[in-house]
Amino acid sequence: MSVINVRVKFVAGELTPGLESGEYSICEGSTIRDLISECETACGAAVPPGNFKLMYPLLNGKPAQLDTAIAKSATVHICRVVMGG
Amino acid sequence: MSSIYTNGYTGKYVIIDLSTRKSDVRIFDEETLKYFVGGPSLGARILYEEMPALTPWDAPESMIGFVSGPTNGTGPLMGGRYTVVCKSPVTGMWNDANSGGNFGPLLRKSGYDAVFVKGISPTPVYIFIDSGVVDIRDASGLWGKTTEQTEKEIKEELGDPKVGIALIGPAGERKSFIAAVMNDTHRAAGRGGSGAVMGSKNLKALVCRGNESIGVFSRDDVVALNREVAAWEKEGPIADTMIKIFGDHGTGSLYEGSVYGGDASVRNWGGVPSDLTEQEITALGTQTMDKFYKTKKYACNACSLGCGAMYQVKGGKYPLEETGRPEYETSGMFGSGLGAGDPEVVNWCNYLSNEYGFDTISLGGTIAWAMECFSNGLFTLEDTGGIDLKWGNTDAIVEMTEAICKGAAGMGSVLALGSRAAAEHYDRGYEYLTDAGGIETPQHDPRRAPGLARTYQYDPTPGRHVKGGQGFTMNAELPPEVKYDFKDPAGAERDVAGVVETEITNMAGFCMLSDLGMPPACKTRFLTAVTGFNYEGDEERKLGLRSFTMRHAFNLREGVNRENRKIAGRILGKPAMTDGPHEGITIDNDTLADNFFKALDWDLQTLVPSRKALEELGGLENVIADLY
Repeated sequence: MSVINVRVKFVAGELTPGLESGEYSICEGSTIRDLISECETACGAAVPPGNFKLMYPLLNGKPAQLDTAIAKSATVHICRVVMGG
Repeated sequence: MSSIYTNGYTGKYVIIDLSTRKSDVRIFDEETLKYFVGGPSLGARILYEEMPALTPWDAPESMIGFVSGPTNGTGPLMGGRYTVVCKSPVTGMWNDANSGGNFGPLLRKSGYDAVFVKGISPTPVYIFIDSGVVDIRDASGLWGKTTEQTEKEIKEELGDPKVGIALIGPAGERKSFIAAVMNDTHRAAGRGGSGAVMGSKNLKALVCRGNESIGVFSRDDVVALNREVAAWEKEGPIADTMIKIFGDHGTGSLYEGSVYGGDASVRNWGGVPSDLTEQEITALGTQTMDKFYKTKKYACNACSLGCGAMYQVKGGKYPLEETGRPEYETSGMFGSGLGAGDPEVVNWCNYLSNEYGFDTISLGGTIAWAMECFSNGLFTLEDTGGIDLKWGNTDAIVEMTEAICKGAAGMGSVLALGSRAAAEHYDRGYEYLTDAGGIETPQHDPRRAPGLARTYQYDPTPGRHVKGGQGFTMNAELPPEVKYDFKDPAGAERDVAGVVETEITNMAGFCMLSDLGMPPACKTRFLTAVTGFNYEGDEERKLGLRSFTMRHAFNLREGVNRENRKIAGRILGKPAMTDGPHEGITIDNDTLADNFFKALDWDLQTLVPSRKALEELGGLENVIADLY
């Protein structure tokens, strides 16, 4: 299975403590959840399990799900489900 | 005289006639308080009785009310908001707008739960209520002055820095349709043009002072509930996430994610996040701005969350010694909504809006409309007075904001009336309006949370994100196959439940952030602890829907029906976007509304509630008598 590079931006830092935005390498066919897991490993951090349901992921600027598969050269944003104020 | 109900209330209100300079102190009967509680609900009940139908908003018979909620000054956490009620100059319909700070509790300390004003003073005045005594004072020397300066001079004149003041700036004096009522320098009951109603009465300010102590039904229960709230905020499931971020960085903390996620508008709702640079988006998030400008935190009365902060902008083109941190809405309106991302510009425009007394949502939305017209050749530099209103031109944003605030001749004075009135003045640009019922829509996109479309178009106060329904907070966690299933009958029940919750939040005097900041099902328990009235079970639903229906009944008298409740097509995805987070999305708001009105048992065309529905809610005999 080939490795692809994707760019991730953690917009909601309080949901993903310790994770750093940037470019990561993941296996082709990985999901957004897999990407976060890879980021946890790379950054030596762990996202509290309860925070996942507060995430609103975007894939290439479009709403996605945590189990959406990522293609190469993708950009992922991890936002909050609650927006505005 | 009937006995005064004092659990959670002063039990009194006053109607002040500026034409005759007479005051009429009245007693609330217990049933009215139980049925309508406070805020917009109680305000609608009183204006429905006291203000004749079809009264022009600027006529002597037109009334404006300042209505507290029973949580104001009685101890419940997050219960510090009062409501301004009137007929809206911009929508021609019912208007209520609420504000935090300290004015609500201080209003009640002066001896009244609510103050209503009618008539027109021949000269500028302010009303000073000191321990129940009403004094109408000359405000000629204050007319034309900004909000901060007016507050300062009134406090100096009275020799009391702690009086509560709700006031207007020059915007209200000029009867701008988008003028706000301000308090505590930068808190605003912003929406719907209530500042213009004050201005039409030559009323510069309502000032309150007193030491009235308001009893509660059960102090022990209030304390116990506050402990629940404190525990929720400290240890609850969102303590380390949503509560922490609002406490640390305020509403603006959600700006960046809201732009990327498609909740904030980009270029008057016609653009996509990629129209902005990453730097522009990040720069307006308060996580970023706080690093440069924040000097201290502050909280509204009785608030444990404390989402407020003060900023200082040193140097640059627009230095500010002290100003309130921009709220999310303001950053969106003067940032992404205008295709821009300059924090100094947002801070400056926020400051000007507050000083001159404008609603930042409507002001920013109106400039967005003008920018889109300019970008499409509907306005020329000659029209704009030389201001190059192209998207993202921050100098132009400031120049036009200043022109509007200062009442400059030409386009500035026209835009001060709001986007709909400006389109009608110039007779062009209708296709670029993004309003609901004539008022600019806020920074929450129904294409992301479709329930907002029903709320924006059909709430008695259109175009509001702080009104109930299956809007952003409830819809956010729903999967797309649910939230875009417009025919789903469960959607109507979510809609009704959202209305009930929000109506209770507002009538009680709670902040909307209490939806996150306190455990579920706390609000009616707080109401019972304070007032002694029981709202368990079906009574809670009746309470919320009674308020919604009372506000709607005011509109029915004004001739409102399904046909004349309008919303801009763009808000609904008509046409659908071809890129960005809302690509391909169109909202079937007719179906959403049909389902909602069926659930309420309202006629789908006239929007008249059935007699049965009205009778079941109780307390609406006057509405039944008018409709049947």
